[in-house]
Amino acid sequence: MLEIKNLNVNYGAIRAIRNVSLRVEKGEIVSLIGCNGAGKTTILRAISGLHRPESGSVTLDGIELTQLKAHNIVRKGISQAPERRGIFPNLTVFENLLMGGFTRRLSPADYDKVYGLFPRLGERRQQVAGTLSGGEQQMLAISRALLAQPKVILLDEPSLGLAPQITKTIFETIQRINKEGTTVLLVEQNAHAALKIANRGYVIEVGEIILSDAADKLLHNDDVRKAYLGEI
Amino acid sequence: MNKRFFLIAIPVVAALYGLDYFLNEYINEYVVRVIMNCGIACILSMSLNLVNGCAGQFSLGHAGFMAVGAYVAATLTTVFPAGPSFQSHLGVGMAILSGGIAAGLAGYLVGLPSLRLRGDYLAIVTLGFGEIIRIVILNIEAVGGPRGLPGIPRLSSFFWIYVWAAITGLVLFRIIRSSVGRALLSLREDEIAAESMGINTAKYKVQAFVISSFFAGIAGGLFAHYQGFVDPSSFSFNRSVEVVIMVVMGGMGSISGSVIGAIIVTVLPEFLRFLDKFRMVVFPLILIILMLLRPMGLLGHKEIWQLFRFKRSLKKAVA
Repeated sequence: MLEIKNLNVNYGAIRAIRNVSLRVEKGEIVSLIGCNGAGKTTILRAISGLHRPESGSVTLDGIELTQLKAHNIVRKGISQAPERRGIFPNLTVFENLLMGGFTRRLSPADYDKVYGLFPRLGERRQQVAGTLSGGEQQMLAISRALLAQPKVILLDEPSLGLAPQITKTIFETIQRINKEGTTVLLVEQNAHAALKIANRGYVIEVGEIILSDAADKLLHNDDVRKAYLGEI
Repeated sequence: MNKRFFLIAIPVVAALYGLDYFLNEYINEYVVRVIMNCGIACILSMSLNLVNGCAGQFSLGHAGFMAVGAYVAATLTTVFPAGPSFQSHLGVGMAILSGGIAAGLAGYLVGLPSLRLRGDYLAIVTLGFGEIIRIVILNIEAVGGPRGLPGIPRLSSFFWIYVWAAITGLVLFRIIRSSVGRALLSLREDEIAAESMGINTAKYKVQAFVISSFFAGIAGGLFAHYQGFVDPSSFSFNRSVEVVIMVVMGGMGSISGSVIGAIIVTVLPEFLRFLDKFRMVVFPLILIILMLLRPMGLLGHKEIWQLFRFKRSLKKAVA
């Protein structure tokens, strides 16, 4: 469904992503794990058009995306819950959600669906988003991305700065979103949690993909366990 | 344009017309002048609010757009050989509208570099642009250069200024409440997130600049035809700063706040005239105190009626 081939991304003179190829099939959850500065976020930014890649291709159902502007890529069916959530802090929860559905006409059923996923947001729909807790902000970011009705949703470090309990809730909800028909590309530092819910995983190190396999195999791969799962 | 619109608009226009007559007959000219200045200031601050307050693009060139509007309108009615045919209410109206459109075009030109700039950098570019306009006018001999352009028909009355102010307020309010307004707000909040929501940030930024400078141009045209004289020094950097003060003091993104800000910044110095040479010491002092007490502006992000509604619902919650 979503296919990346030989992607190279530069920041100025520095090559951040080298020859990365990965694919996400319809209905999958794919996790991209790696440590700080490995280039996980850069890949997502390149997919969603926020950063123009140097070379390579990104296609969604055969449609080339690299030449499109970010706001048009959303219309093709990819939306992103950006790193650090990127919510609009001075707008209310409801207004934030409204922005998520900017590319289409929203019906009350759309909101109900989101409030169903995250009841907390429903309770706080009139609250200014900047005053939400970190977990609630993450829920808002995910919901907002969902309201664009994407074919593929890109989630950038949903566990960032969250308590383990809330991380768990969020990952459960990601699974639920996936079951309801949205394909997920998940970028995480929390390798354990990310691989546990994923079908397949990619490990990225200094801009290159060094491993890719079924998620449960990666979970039991010795190198991965040493490097990312904190086991010796 | 539904029924309710006319139900409100017709009495408002009639009331403005009546007030116009009343002011001219019974109120002394100085007070009328201050009231007119208020109206023009309202148009300026409301229009700047769209760019500064809603879209969060800090622009310091509003006086430049006002100058474009003022000079284009005044040139049409005064310098042009066909000028005299413009010297009726309708003619002046057309001239002012042309001034607004010209300013809108200028706004388009400034909007373009703003796509790549933000914050302080954009402020510098718009400031520079405003000064360029002023200096270009200063060097056009046909419109009087530094001596200014006298003999403009004094045809913009209280009625016309406030009709335009009402139109400005209505249009901007509708824009802010529409999806365009929400797009602008999200731009202010987080541009990258806005872009990844599918909002064409470039398009909306330029739109905001064009609309805002259109109304600034209208204000300029009204100003020219009410003063009867314009010179480049009326549109200096100080004027831009004054408008920014109105917007910031009223509350970023609040149209009614801009109106209040405009009234305070225009009227307060007049009330302080008794202080003589200390006037311009006390006035800024009052502004500082106001900002210390209400750092988010008098109304914050809200409109004045929302403020009251909020208080009412609070009372209900307590009771």
